[in-house]
Amino acid sequence: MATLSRIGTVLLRHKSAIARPSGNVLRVASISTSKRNKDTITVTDAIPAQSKSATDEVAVNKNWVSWGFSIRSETEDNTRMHLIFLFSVTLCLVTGGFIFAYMPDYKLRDWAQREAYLELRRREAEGLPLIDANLISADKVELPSDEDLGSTEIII
Amino acid sequence: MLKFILMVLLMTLIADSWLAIQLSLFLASFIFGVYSLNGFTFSCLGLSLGLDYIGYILILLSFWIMALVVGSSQKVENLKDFNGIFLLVNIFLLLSLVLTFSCLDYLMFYVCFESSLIPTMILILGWGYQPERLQAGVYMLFYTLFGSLPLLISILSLYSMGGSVTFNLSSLPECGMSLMAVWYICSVMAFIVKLPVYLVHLWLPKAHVEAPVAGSMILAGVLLKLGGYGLVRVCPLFIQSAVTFSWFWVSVGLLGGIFVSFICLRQTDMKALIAYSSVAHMGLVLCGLSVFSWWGLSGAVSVMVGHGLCSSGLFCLANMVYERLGSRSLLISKGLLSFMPTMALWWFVLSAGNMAAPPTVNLLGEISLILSVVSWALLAMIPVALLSFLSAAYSLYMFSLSQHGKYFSALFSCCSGKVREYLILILHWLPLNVLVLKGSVLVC
Repeated sequence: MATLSRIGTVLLRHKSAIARPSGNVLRVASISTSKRNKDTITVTDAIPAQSKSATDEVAVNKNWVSWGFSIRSETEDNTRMHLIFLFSVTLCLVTGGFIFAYMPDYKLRDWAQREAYLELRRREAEGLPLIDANLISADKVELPSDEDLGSTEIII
Repeated sequence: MLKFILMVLLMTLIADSWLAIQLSLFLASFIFGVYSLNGFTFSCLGLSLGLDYIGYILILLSFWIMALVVGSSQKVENLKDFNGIFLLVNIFLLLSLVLTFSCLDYLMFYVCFESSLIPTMILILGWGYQPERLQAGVYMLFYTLFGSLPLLISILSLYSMGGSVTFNLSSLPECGMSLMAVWYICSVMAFIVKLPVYLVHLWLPKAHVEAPVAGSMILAGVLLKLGGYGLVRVCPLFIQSAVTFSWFWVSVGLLGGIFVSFICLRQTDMKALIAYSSVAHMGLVLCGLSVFSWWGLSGAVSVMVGHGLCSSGLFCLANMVYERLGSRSLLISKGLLSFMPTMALWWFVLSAGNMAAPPTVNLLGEISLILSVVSWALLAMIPVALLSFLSAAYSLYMFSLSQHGKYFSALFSCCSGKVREYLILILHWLPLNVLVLKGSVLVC
């Protein structure tokens, strides 16, 4: 990107050289402005002399490489790294993952399967059909008439 | 359920401290995530807020993606770019999302659905990078509002004619087929625009490209799923009309996905490529939701969760490249394997997730969706096969164009990957690839 802009400005400089008229002609332009009758100044409080505090003397590694969590200070960056890794990895991924993996009978699936097997065993023992041919009683089913069906394919 | 809303509201009080918000978002994800151990029946049901399995997984996704959003927007804090307000806007977005996924009646759902637009607009306009973000915000706002005003009318007429707006307790009065059809179209258009589906998808590439990384991640990660969630809630009211019109949505979803996948292959802007791939994925989700089968619903939810993690991760990666190189163009940000080889691992793994390679959640969802759509109509086999093939094509295109080859000669130097960036990416990838081992969490 930087190279592109540098090349660009070089081209511009050449272009203006080409566009410059030949022969040195002195051109004078006069600009008129109104007299300055207002001016703004800023007023700041007097800055007190900074005294050296104890924290300044802690050795600061001049070339510290940030973990990415803070660009201001190494200690803040380090603290944040430890805390964020603790909460995200240790808490959410590891602990949460453990709970998810070993959660007992999520959505009662195992219970439902056990109940189904028990019911099957009961029916086999009593000689009943394992599943009723009319699971929904026949009088509740509304079949479409022949005209409504038309040419729809019936798959059984 | 109100306790989680309170938790999110209390986060606004600590919005000055970046670290506190980040830790509390991870904590909230953990607490919410493990809260479902005993089932929702008596722990999360209130008078106006409640949970079922779809709402649960999408709220968990919202909390998790928001935590990752705050993690990847470190530049906002470094530059002191109104970081307090940034966090506040994100928290309000999270609040509206959690409310949307947990509310129990249609009117409140509508209010929260619309209220998620405002923080997104503020994010795009306030922290976006180019002047084109003005038009992008306008597109997003007006496309969504155009679709959702008929939804408001249909909810209000549901209340006045049906007597109730509570989710499973309301039903339509007896009315003619044509009125039912109009009612159905009015209700469903908002979600069709939000998903988005091919013919009304133009807001998405604009909004995603112009949004800052936070906006892109949240848009791709959660806001698109609002459309899918809304369809799950609204379609059972209109079963007859929905079944009559499902052929249209399946066709638009499949063919639109194919057209958009071809458009992906022609993109030079990384973020636009990922945005168009979102449209293709959501097209398949719409097909799954329109065929009204159990496989379709569970596949749709799985693809929504997987796509949320994957697309959000890809936008995060694209932003890392943008922060270093200053450009999103694939012509400039190429040959990155030479500069950041470890980042190329994450590019590969997330691109593989995007094309539904095993063992990701996307694969689980895509298999369920393919099964459901092909069982609905055998002819759908051809567009579905083309969609799968093209998703592999553009994912590979994006990966190889950005990573392989000789790096752009004008690139002087760029910073290697920071630990924070690798952490955010692994937090995207680990749920994506490991949650498939506990697929019963996603499958309804």
